[in-house]
Amino acid sequence: MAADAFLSVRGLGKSFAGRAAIQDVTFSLERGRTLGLVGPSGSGKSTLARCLALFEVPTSGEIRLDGRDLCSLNRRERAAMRAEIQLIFQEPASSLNPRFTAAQIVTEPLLIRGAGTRKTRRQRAAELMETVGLSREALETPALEFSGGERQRLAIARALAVEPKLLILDESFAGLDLSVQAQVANLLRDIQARRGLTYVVISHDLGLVWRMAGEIAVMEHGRIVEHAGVAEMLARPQHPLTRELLAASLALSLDGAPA
Amino acid sequence: MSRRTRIAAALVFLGILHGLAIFAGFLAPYPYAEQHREFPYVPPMRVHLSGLRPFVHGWAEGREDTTRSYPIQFLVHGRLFGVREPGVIFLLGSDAYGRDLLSRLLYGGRVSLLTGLLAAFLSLGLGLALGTAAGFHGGWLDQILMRAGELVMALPWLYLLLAVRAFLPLHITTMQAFFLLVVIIGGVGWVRPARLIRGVVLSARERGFVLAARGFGASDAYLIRRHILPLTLGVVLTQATVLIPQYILAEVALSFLGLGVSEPVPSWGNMLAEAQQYHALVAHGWMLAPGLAIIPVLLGYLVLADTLMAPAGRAR
Amino acid sequence: MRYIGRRLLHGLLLLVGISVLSFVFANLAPGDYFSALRTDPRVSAETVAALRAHFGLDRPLPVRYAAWAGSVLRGDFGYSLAYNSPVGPLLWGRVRATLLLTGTATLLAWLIALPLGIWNAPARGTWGDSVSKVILAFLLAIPDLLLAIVFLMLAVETGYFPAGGMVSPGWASLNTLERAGDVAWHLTLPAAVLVLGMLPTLVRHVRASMAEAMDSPFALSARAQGIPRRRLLFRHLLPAAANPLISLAGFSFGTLLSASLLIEVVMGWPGLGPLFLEAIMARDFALVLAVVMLSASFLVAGNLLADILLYRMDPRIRMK
Repeated sequence: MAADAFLSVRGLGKSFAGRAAIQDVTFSLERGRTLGLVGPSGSGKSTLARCLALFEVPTSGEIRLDGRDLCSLNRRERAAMRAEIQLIFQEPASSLNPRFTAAQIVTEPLLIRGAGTRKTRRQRAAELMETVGLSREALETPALEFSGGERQRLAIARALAVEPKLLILDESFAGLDLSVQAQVANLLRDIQARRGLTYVVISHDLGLVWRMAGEIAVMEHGRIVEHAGVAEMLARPQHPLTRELLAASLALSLDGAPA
Repeated sequence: MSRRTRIAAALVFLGILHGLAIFAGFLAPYPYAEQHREFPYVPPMRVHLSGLRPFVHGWAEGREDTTRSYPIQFLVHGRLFGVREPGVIFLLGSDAYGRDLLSRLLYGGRVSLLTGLLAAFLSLGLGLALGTAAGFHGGWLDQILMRAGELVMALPWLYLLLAVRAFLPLHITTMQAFFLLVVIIGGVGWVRPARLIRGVVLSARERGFVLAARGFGASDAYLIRRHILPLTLGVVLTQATVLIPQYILAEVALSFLGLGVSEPVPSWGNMLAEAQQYHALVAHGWMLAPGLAIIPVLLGYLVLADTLMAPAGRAR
Repeated sequence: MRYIGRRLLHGLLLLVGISVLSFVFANLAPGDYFSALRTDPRVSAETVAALRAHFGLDRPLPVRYAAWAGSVLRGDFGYSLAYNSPVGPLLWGRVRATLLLTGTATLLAWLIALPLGIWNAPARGTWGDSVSKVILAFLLAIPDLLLAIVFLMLAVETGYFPAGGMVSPGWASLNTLERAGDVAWHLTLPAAVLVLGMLPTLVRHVRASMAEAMDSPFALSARAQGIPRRRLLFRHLLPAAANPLISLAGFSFGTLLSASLLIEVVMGWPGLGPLFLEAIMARDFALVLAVVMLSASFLVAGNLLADILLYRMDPRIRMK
């Protein structure tokens, strides 16, 4: 585990009211790669996501992004850091204000950070819409008129507005049709290739994750129980949980072999 | 009648009623304090037509004096209509001092309706501020505000108003009385709006888009302004339609009891107090006009409130 | 049982809080009973000061509060300066009169509203329902004050009913039955105004609760099973609709002392309302405080009652 990797997590732990949601989490991720994080409900995936995205302060351990220690930031540095790490939530419906128009949603981060003028923000909005495959004509449409998949694209566009380096997708595909999932996954891979983004994809569904990830970490009860490259994990799963998850997803898989 | 049409109709209706009161200075033929001692308790006068010109007869010895006619003049002395002296025009009759009831009704309506509106504005403003603070901040602020609210609500409403009024000076000028009424009635009624708004804010606080905006570094002020407050609009509007009529009635009650606006400034409340000459009241039925005038106002707000609060309706 | 204990404690704390607040307010108020005397040139300032000291009005606030609270707990509500009598006896007669009026009216209103609301609920959308809705809306829009004045006017005109008061002159010389009849005759108009004022909201609530119960899944399935209407109504629907109605009943109880203030004043019914008003006008704060505490106690008791009843009747609350 290289200490100078792009994202380096060591001994991370977070407890709520004495109960540990995650403990001893250690992994590293190279720039431009995708880590898949899988595990059943309650395994601590979301807590880990929130720690990485600076929504929670870890109770132990450290997170380093591009060499910088995220846990020792003061408030201003944290605010600046938020531009580099973005979290895409689970429910596209609730993570967007239904009354906002697409333009408002996508430029909101810029507005909050006071970046640019109204004009430059409008231009950014149009560019971002196209990046995620939505038409610029739809800029003035209120969010509730978009379909689930389109809303998730909007959420991605919004996340991209601040030009993050690390994108965390927390169950972002739940609730979408399989074909829409595939489309969004392809879009994300595209963007990653073009912009060199690093992804952490979190899901309870292994089959979904192997399409996107180069390496996968399996979590159970707040710890990482197995961490390996996708091919290796498929060929030689070590942990019983991994084998369970594989079996469950292979049974459902429609498009056969992993990427 | 569709929901929108009903709301629009109610709003137009209320707008007209309020408009009549606001423009009392123009619509009323007389100033509210002007007395005509020689014409006490004149019943509503009939308007006659001579061709296309309206006029009224004189009044003498308790009945129409057809020997005298006074044409109605329009847009004179800054008022919509009137008659030249020594004629009088009492379209709704006159009271014990010969004061025109229609004029007093309009001016009185201005006082009563305005008090209701301003007090509701105050209550809602307070409720919005306190409810948002309690819901957003939570913790001790929430506890304190909710306990304070319980204290206020533990007294029956009219008794609370009277008690607060009791602890303030009894003899005050009209302007002070008006101001005081607005502050008391409005200041006491913040609790229910605050609770409702607090509920909205509590659930809005946890919504995904609020968390997402926080993730971009949004300040609390931004979150409240851009995302949370717009969600409270529905509650604020429905509460307004419920509170305004209640507060109008409160002003009427307080002024009726002599604890609100007093002579010579008319309010529907103190005008009703005058109507309590029961032996002659049947003969002077028009003195009840201020009480009757409240009815359409309340109906309008009632229809508005009902329509606003039954969203999809019971489609059965 | 702990739940009831907690609610009781909560109610008591509330009352203590109100007593403190009211006491503080009353004493912040500019002027007191003797203020009017001060403007009288025949009364010297020393006399006024002496009167104040005699009645203990010059001691510091917390001391006076403690003294007042202590005596209240012993059942002594202080001394009314305006009426020159202890507050207690002044109150009880009036409270009885008010309770007679509001109790009768509330009972009647509920007796009318329940069947009306229950009958109305299934009749939604029919012609009869629309008519009753319009009538009730109109009734709701008529201010109590106006109704009271109009009724009084009719009483004076026609002489069918007395024009105010609770008893006729010479009441004491009547036998028991005649006395009751006389009071009832005087009671009719004020009670009628109260009932008409309460009906619209009550009927609405009953109708809404019934409608909600009727629309619930278990009611629909019960109907599908062909359960006869009467059994359905009494064994299934009413218990389900009871919860909000119990709260409403508690609230009705809580307002027993206060709902009739205006009507009592207008129609000359010798209840708590006119007493309260006179106390305010005379700035007799001992009396004002006593009435405030009394009416607050009723309201708090009413809410407590509703809480306890709900707790007993609804197992879901017990599980919380």
